[in-house]
Amino acid sequence: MLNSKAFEDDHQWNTEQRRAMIKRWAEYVRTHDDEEWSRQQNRLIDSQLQSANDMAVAGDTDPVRFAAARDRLRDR
Amino acid sequence: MELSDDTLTVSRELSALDKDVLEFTQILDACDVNYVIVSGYVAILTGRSRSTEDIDVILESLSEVETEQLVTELKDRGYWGMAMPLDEMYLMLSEGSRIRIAEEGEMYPNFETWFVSNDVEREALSNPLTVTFDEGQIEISPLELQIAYKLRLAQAADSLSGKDFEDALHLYLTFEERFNTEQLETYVNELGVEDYYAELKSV
Repeated sequence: MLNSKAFEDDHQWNTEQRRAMIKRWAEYVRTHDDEEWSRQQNRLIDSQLQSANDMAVAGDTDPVRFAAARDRLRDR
Repeated sequence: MELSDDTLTVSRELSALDKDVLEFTQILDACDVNYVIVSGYVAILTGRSRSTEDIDVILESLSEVETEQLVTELKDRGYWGMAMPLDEMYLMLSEGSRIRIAEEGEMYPNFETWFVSNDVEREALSNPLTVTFDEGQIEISPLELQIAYKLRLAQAADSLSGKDFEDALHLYLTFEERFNTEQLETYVNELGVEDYYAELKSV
């Protein structure tokens, strides 16, 4: 039998961890030069953008359908 | 980052996304189109550790002629409409729809643009925050409005753990001692997100 309580506990734990990470990163952004945090952030942004474009060019994603599906989920 | 009443100065190393945004907004500037960037990119620009596939850009309402001039400039600079031809831009926008614009042959990032259509959007467009980089400047939503708006999206999704709440949290924590708290709380009350704001502060 599926344990709904365990799922909720995991979800809560995950939420708290994510918030703690956002808090630490915001502190880092506040206390370091823009060049320092942006250099690290750009590794994430540039690689994700590159991968998204590579997938689109390869025909692995339809951006319009993807965005519509994402918006439907967001609006739930 | 240095925040004053109507300017945010950022000395960041530009990402590929930032460069694309600057190129796109330079076209809007060249055509004298008032715009404001809202939503995810505002959080990313100020350090949020995530990316996005689309940039949300609210435009002032343009006439058919003005829109055609913008379309001509966009085409000349190598942009295309991903889902609809740019030639349909005025038809789409004037009926309240949105159009996605990207560099020719590219899918991401794309600029989701629409004509200003409600009070929140009008507020953002009327009181933009100017972000200055060494390489240029762009107009974004006031941070206080952006936080309240993100909380409103989180509330609509009934989620205190999704990206909208997290974007609001990032902006709040990053600029906590620098933005106008009174203004933020006015927006929070107007958008009816007091409970989500209380949760934000408790973090």
